[in-house]
Amino acid sequence: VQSGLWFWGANVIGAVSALAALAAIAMPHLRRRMFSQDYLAGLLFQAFGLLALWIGGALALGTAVRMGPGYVPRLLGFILVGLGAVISFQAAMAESVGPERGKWRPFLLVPAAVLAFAIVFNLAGLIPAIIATILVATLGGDDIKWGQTAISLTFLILLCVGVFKYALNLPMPLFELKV
Amino acid sequence: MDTLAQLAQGFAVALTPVNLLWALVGVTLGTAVGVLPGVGPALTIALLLPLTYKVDATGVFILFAGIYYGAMYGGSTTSILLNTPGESATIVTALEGHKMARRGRAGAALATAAIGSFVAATIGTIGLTFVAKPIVELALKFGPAEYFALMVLAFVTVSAVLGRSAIRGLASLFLGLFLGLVGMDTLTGQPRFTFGLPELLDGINVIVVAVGLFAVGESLHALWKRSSLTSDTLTVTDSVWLTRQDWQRSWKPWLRGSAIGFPIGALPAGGAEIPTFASYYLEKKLSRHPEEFGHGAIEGVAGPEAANNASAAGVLVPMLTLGLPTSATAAIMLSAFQSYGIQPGPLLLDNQPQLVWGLIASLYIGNIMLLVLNLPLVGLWAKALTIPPPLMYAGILVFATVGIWGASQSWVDLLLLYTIGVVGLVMRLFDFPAAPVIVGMVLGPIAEQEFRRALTVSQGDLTIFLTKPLSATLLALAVILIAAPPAWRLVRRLRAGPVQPALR
Repeated sequence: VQSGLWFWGANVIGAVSALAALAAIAMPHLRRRMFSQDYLAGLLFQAFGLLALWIGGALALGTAVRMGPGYVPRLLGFILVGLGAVISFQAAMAESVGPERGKWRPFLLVPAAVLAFAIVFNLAGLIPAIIATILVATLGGDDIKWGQTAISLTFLILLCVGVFKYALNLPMPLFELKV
Repeated sequence: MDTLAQLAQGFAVALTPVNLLWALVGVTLGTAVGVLPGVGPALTIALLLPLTYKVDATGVFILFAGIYYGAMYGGSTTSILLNTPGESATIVTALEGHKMARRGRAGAALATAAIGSFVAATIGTIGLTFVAKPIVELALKFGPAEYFALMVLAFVTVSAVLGRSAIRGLASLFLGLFLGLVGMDTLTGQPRFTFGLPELLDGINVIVVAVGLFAVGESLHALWKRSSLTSDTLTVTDSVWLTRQDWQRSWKPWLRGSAIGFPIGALPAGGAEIPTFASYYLEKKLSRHPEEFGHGAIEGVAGPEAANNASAAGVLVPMLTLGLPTSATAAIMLSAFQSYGIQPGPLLLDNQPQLVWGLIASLYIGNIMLLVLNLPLVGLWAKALTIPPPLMYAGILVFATVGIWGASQSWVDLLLLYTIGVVGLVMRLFDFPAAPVIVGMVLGPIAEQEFRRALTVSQGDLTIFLTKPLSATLLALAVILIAAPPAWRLVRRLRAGPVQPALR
């Protein structure tokens, strides 16, 4: 479906950037530049652009005067690849810092808490779901203080019930066992 | 006098009990989120966007404006007591204010910040009241070409101002423009990037994107970050009021800070950072006690805090008169306009006088509420600083999820919310600003429309954008904003010549 110099040009830019990053694994002195925050960020946007070009490839292009549905998407795709390439290139030319290292425990436990919310909400309603969420999320903290947990719990229940149930009149059960 | 009559009508709207309640809820919530480090007005307003499905526009915008102003007040409390500036605009407050708190003058620092904020925000709101009409009258003379040029300027300023570098901002902007393409093509009726999902035919809802990027993405990033809060929270030991000498040393910085903050905030490329620093250096220069700066000078809190609040009012000028957002919070408010089907721009003031003037009037009222709320209750707010972050972010995620689910009851929207949340996390990890995405999504289609209109007028002649003087000026400004900083760096490097490589 895809043809044209531009498309292949964009692919080549992306491939070169990705290969440069891969090649840098073997070359320690390049590793810091290629695995820097900036280089990877550029690579990411090149990937976005290529993905857009790939998926939007089937849309008719048209001409500048009579634009087809694929005209603007393709233009934006090329611009994204181009901007990404510039960011990567700048990064490879200069010293820069690596991506932030983070904490896994809160990062995984808090979304898990939201998942718990979804499951308990379907089984028992809004209030048990909020309780489950806060209990799981508490485990993500560095030091666990149950007093604060209780305060946050009360506050969140009042807020959610007030806003969603009474202000917005959303159809959601507060407490209802379905098992 | 026309303006005053309309303002009076605005007060009639803002003083209805329901709207007073919205304003009170807004400033309270705003102060709370301003105090909490890691939660800003942008996130809060994003979280409350689902309200736009149920509540009338005037009430929601009064609420949002209250949050916006309230967060400014609350932010200074955190800076002074915790030395953790919530945003770049309060760095200076943290600098001097925390030193004052260390010396047992926390109460005086908080008081001068609160009263200064009140003075500055009121002056800024008066400025907004009287500047709005003339700007709108000018903007109404705009043709499609000028309007398109203005959009381009908006794109460029948002990208250049809000990120670490212009190119990162532009990348975010184009991502947003791209998200705006999803759905049915208006001209040919062909579905684009819908992955065969009928839910996506209408396009991605900008509210889902705003909540995903600012609430989910921000929370995930905050949870990921290693740096946690230091428990170095100072308590207020002295009375939260000013001595006679404090008043004498504060009132001029308040006025000067407002005078600097409002115009810079109103400029498309202004922001709140430049005026606060400008005010700080000005006060340091003019002060009779320059040796106190850096050790807790009250002028160093009064001036920048006033500048910060006045610029917050200034940001509302381009937002309400031209539909141009120049801060992340303004970008999210813009998406609320879209949710109501209200087109922001010069026509807003004529089409929605109730909304705009009610909003402006509520800013005056909210300011008074904030002063009352902040001075006596500051100790209570400081308590909020002790909430453990995981609980806070879990609460935010639950609120975001329920809000989106309640608004549309669509699994596709929930999936999108979390996908975009992860995108928002990745963007923050790689230091891309999120606000240009929203701006691109909201303004992109409008810009395209004006572009096509302009070309219809000129019968396909692209030079129309350059031959009209106003549009040419605006485009030239946009080019300067993008090209000037790198060019300036190049010039400096060339001047520095061989010294630079030796330094490396």
